[in-house]
Amino acid sequence: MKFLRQQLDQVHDLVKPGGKLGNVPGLYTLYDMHDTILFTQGKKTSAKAGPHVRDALDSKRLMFSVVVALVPCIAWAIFNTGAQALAAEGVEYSLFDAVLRGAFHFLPILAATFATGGLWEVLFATIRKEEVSEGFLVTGMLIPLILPPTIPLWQVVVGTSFGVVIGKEVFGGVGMNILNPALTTRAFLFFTYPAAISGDQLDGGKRVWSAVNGVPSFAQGIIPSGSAAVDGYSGATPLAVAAASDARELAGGGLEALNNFSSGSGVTYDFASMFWGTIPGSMGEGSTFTILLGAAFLLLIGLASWRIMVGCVIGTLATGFVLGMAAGPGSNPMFHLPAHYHLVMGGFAFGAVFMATDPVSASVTDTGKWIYGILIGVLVVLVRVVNPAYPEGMMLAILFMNVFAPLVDHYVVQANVKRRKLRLAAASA
Amino acid sequence: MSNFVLKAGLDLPIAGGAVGSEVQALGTPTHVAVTPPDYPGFKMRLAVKEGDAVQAGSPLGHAKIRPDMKFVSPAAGKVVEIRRGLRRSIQAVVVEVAAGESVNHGALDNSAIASLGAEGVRERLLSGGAWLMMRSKPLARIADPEHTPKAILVAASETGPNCADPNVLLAGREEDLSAGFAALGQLAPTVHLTHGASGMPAALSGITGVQTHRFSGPHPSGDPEVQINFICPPGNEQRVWFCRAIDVADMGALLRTGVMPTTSRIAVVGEVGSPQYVEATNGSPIADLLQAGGGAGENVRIVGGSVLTGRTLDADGFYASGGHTLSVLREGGEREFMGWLAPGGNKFSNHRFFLSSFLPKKKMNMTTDTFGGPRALIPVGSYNRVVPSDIEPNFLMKAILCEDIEEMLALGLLEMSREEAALCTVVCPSKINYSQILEQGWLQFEKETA
Repeated sequence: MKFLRQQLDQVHDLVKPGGKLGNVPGLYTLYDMHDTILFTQGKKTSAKAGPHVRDALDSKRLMFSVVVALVPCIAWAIFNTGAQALAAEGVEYSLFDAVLRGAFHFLPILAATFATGGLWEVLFATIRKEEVSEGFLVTGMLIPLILPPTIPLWQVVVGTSFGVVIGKEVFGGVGMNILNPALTTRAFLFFTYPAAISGDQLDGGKRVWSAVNGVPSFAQGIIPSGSAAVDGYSGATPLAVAAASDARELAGGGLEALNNFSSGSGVTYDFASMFWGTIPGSMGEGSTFTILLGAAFLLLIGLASWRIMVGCVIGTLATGFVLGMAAGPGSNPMFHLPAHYHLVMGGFAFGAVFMATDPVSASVTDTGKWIYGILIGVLVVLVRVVNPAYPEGMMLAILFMNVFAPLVDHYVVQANVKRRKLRLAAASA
Repeated sequence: MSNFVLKAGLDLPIAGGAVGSEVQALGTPTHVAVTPPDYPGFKMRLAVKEGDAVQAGSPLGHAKIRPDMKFVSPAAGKVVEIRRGLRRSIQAVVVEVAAGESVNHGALDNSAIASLGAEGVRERLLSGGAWLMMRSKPLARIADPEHTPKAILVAASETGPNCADPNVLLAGREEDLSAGFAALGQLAPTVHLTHGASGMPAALSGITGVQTHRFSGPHPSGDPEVQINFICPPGNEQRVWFCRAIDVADMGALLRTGVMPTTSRIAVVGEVGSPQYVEATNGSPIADLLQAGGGAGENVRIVGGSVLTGRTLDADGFYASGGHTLSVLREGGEREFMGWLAPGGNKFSNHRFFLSSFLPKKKMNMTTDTFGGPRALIPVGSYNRVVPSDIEPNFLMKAILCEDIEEMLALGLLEMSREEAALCTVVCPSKINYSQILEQGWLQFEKETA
């Protein structure tokens, strides 16, 4: 390690202000980023005044821990993207084939996200003369997981730029943002290029969410692929199936539509398959099981707030249950969905575990976290069930509550202020 | 008697606490000093010059704004050096120790102490140099003798990292303590006496005329500034004075014998050969104290007080604060390869991000390393877990940074204690210095209310 340290120190002398390359903008920021990833900073606490010791946790480890929690989701995203595409193309596949095919779709999106976001981060850190913040490590990991595998790369670049710059940097960077930057990216893409993100442009909605025929000719033969979708193939997501207009005719509404569904490629939409995630959809959010593994890790290390997660679940179950009682013939088919189905469908689990718990855009106070979580749960079901325009409500519910989190906190803090006044009045009486 | 169980807080698992209750008595040092920086907010005006002969207990100087607040010499001898720091501020007034008299303010018996009256107690504590031990909340500055406090809180509890155990400090001081409490009872309508989870120290068992309270839980449950929030919060109109029980013993000794005590028991802790208690002349050279503690290694930081709120001292300086803990801490600053990624079985963290959180709890050798660079706040709940007072630390910090005085007062600027702010600084993953920010808020409050 000594050798590496010496090499880095030589680079430092080159790029430090006043060094030979000291005038090149951004170079020192870049050096510093790599230097502090490779070696701890070795800074000491101020000798002027206490405290003289510090906790070993820093923001690098904090952010990296979220990425560790995402590993099961990433693994599933890669496997399932490949598996769904190969199944839809009617190809027999092994685990290796599925992973190879999935990686072929997932990795370019990941690379495009990190290249774009990293560029903006270094640019802003250089302008601000700050160290490069680690926040994008998480954002960059989240973005590919909430996008469909068919998304064009240029849209990834545009969307990531919007999410990072407008969602975060204009507010002052990591820690200052109001909205979750990854969700901002998705919302931007959702409203700007609705066809691409919901798949409408492909075959009248038939190829939604699955990377069918996604392998260009040059890579065929290397990347496992079939020639075309199997006959009668449908890649519609469970939420789309349950909310579809023909489900309205069924006595059991959305639930019956889900039970009747068959994709043509062997996918069914029962509770178990939606829990395990053997369904098409955005790459990382399909499997509730892998998300729960991540949640377990986040709760074990105490990084994500259990109050928010539990609040989301309570809000969803309660609202789903109440709306379920209102279900009747001719009502929106989603009314017929049992409350617990909402927990495994769409982006709920992924949002509740990884998005809603983003400490920066969530409520800060403990009471506020309960309110914030429960309201996300209520809103997501309301959007899914009552609003016919969007089958999925998690993204909008979280973004909406991101905006209201400071208001929730405000009232919790005012309660604290009021308690203080009462306490002082009692003490001086 | 009320019982307070504080849940929030943090006991730093730092190695090197003083073992047992043996106190090693040190001989008289060759030099002693008074060090004004131990009294922040007070500038010293000298009453002596180099070469002057002084007695033990005679004033070396006084506070610039309060001529009746005296800094007294802990030993008789000759003033040999006046050490100055930045902008000629006085860092230490050094006295070469020689045989000589002590200033005697006249011994008082119990009935005489009981009939001194507030004015009499005040005058004697001021002229004897014992007043400097009395602090006032809000702001934890030295108490203004012209105020009448709503109450005085005396803490016989100690939860600070490796701080001296009150049981050891107070042993054998029964008479001093009863004289001290008799005097305090005349300064304020109510005197509160708090003790920790292990009960009232034996030396205090005979104290009457006080309200006793029990505080248990992790640090800062033993800190008087925090305890005031639970017993008698003063708000910004009133004042509550506070000190430690050992300070009351010294005040009592001054009143009872007429002579200010010249020695203190000090826990020499941390990275020293054998951490232990010593009894040394006030203002002893740090080198003497470290030697008595078995010697400190190279590349260490010497801290007067605890590693949380103590002040860095020079190795060739003096320990004169009337504090009772001298901490020695290894300096950090090594550049560790991929340190942020290591499992961290031997790293201290109040977050469960390191292997050490899942191993059996053991004391660790901490260093002065920051373990990372400053970032914007990422509120993962670190602060709330170490602040037992009913405060929302994130919002208080933001109000202070916005310089919004109304808002910060409403959010508890005057309730937050230095120990709590120090714990926030320690645990912050964004490496934000909360202590500095709190002090900034306090300074603004002082400025706007002056």
